[in-house]
Amino acid sequence: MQFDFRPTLQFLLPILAITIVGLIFTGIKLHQINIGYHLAHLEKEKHKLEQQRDVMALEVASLKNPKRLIQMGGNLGLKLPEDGDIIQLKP
Amino acid sequence: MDLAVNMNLTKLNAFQLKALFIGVTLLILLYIGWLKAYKLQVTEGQKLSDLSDNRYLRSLSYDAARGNVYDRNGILLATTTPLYSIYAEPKRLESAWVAARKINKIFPELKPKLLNKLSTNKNFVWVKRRINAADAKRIRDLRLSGIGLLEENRRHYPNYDLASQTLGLVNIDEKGMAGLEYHMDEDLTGEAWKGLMYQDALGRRIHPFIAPERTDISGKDVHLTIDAKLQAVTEHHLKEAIKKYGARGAWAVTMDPKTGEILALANLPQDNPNHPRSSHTSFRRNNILSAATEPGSLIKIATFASLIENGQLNLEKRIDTEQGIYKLDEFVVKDVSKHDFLRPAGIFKYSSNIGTLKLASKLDRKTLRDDFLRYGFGSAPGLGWQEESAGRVPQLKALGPVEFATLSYGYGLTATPLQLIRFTSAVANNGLMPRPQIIKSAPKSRRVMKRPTAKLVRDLMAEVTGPEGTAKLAQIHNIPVAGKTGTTEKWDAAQQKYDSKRHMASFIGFAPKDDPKYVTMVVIDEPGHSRFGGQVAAPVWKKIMTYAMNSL
Repeated sequence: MQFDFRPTLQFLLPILAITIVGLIFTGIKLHQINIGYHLAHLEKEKHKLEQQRDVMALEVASLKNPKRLIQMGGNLGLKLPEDGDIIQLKP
Repeated sequence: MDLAVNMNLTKLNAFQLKALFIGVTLLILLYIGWLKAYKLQVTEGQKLSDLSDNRYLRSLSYDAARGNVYDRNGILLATTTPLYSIYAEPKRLESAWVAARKINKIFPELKPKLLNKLSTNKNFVWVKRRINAADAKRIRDLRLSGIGLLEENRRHYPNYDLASQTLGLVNIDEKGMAGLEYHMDEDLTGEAWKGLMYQDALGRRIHPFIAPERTDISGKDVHLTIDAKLQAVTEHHLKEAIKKYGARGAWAVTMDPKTGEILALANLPQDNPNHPRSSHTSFRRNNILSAATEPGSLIKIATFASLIENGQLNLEKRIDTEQGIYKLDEFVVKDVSKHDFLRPAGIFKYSSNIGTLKLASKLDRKTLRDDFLRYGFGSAPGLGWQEESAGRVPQLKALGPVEFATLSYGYGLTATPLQLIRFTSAVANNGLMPRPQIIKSAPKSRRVMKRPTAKLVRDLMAEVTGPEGTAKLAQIHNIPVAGKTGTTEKWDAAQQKYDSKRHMASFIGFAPKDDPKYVTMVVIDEPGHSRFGGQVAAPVWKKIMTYAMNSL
């Protein structure tokens, strides 16, 4: 005599489907949390890099300080051009 | 029915029975699971979610960085970078002695007081303010419970004292206190960002996908009309002039007469805004905008413009300048150089006070006063900054014969360098007086004199820098220039008289003469060795203008 599984399957399949959907949902949520970790980490990194960029821009600007350059030039024996030192060439 | 089922069950074999048992057990377990899930998600879902949020959701805030300030060519003049401050929560410290010992290794200068600080019963104490990122990392690596770091912003001026009075400064809370920092405070200040972020049990952050984006929270950047290189050159030459002439101070301003853009604005001595407490507060004063002083002979440009405009200047008529001494009632007027009869061009060229007052006597008091007002004296030039002074033009009723005479050659009224350069820009710009601007915006101007008047005044000013003029030291090789010297005695408020030993020497001029590109004014305050604008201020003007004409 054959056991008829159909009624059982009819009952089990929807539950199985819901369970699978639940598992997928949970998996997506877990993935979202992992992405959340990653994003938070990237955001922190971005903030840090932006700060480093600003600090470096400040350093570059300090080194390019025109008054400092004039003074350094003076120490090397250079001077700002005076009247008559510059000859404008006409095209 | 029940009988039929029992019949069927009895017909099942052992395997089938086991399968059925497992299936039913699984079903019961699933049912229990679903019931639990329903309870967690639906019945108690909100309550548990709130509990979770309270535990893991963190409110974060970031102080917005103040906007940067750039010159007209994008050179950075002011910026904000993060610094860190170390704080302690003494009650949370495991051992104040251990913490103090470890921190002292990094900052030995804290040694005398640190242990006492950490041993108190307070909830919060500052350990050290404003340390750099490298030192902050060393502190963080100590992993001391009860010791933390707070990120703070700090304003930096990478060019130190360059244009310091124009840039102004901020206080410890990054609030603008003077200059541009004060005037543009609202724009420069960003909006503090606040948002939510999940944090796990280990303190790691999880992006919740609900926080607003952090973009555009910084303050707005400001682009000035200042040219940092010309500013540096100007300050360099002013510094040299102070040294050379033993002067108390020196100021200079350069303007584009067509647009009113201020290209350089220097006041020496000056302060380094990175360390604002290191020098005297008067070093932060922007004299170009605020110092309303008697302009002396510089006002003769306006007097002659008024004479021409009102058809009262006969260029051929000779005026007796009385060999440099003239008595007006009880008041004695003196000229520096002694002449007898001079034509108006000569009067202007030699800067004769006597000739000027005699010419001005052809105008009625109201006309000259109204013209001075139209030329922008007696009203703020329009930058809109708090330190801008309007100067003073005397009331009509206060203008007696002596007052009217002195007014015509620059005493009895006050004007700031900004007012004088704005008016001279009108002469250079064919009678159109520009609104001065230091933050880039659309240029605006208004007509204050006719085009031919402006041209004639320019011609008169060119004579001043000619071989016989008072400012021949302002001549530039191959570039025709024009200008006017000024030498004024300073008013001694204590003695209530002019001090013949303290002067202000000035020169204002433009180049090239016929189509001026730049107008520059130089003031040397209390020169020690020489007092005349043509000898002290004109050579500095020449150096600044030479650079501007050849390098900008």
